[in-house]
Amino acid sequence: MVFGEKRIFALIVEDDRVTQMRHRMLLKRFQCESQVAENGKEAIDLYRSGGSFDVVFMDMEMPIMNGLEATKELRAMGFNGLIVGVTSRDLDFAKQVFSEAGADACYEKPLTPEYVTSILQQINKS
Amino acid sequence: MARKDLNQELNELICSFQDQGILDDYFDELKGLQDEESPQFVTNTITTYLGGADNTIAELTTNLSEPAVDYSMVTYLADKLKGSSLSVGGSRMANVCAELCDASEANDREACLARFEVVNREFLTLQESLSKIVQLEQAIYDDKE
Repeated sequence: MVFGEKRIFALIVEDDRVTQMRHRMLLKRFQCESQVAENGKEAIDLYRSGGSFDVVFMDMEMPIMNGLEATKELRAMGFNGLIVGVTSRDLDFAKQVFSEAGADACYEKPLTPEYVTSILQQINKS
Repeated sequence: MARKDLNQELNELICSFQDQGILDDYFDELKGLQDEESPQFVTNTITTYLGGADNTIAELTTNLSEPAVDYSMVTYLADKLKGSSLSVGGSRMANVCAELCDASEANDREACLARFEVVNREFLTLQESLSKIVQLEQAIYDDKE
């Protein structure tokens, strides 16, 4: 995703390889650079070691550290970029718990071009 | 076979699977992501899905055969398989995985076993369908090379 002259960097936090592949390819269509973390702990470690992201796409259920814990931890560490929950579970429940954890939005899997456009608009506004 | 015929055959095959409810519109979106830079994206994604699903189903088989079922693990695996299936447009497969999730969250062993039987059946159907798509995709790719 390109905002003006600025290239957008995304972190995909997802343990399913197929979903990783699909989301990376979709974001590439929006000229978005993306990196993958296989679970919440990897995401935290990436951020702690200096990773800089405009948006984090956070799966809910992952081994080692799930998406809700990782979201809370990222916010506690001072991450103020967009965090978008992505879920295959009940959407209303996921929206509620992701919001309580500090996420900005939550969408159903898989991400679609419409969802990504909406997220781009949110980044644009901020 | 001419490339145009292969593409037409592929489109008709996909439509057929969509009419049967095996695949949904998310498969069209997946296919739409393939481009000249990644001409085998669909093949690679399907191959990854089939391999991963095989492993997940094997893990579910092991878990559900334990005297004391670890329902949190079954829920996690079923949910993972659901998400993966959604990513390749396998809506019917995703739906039966969701039903297995529900049974597992209810700690209902009998329901889990019944739902898992359906998951296995649906996977065989999806596997066969996706394999046919991969065959045609590969033929189209080989024709271009």
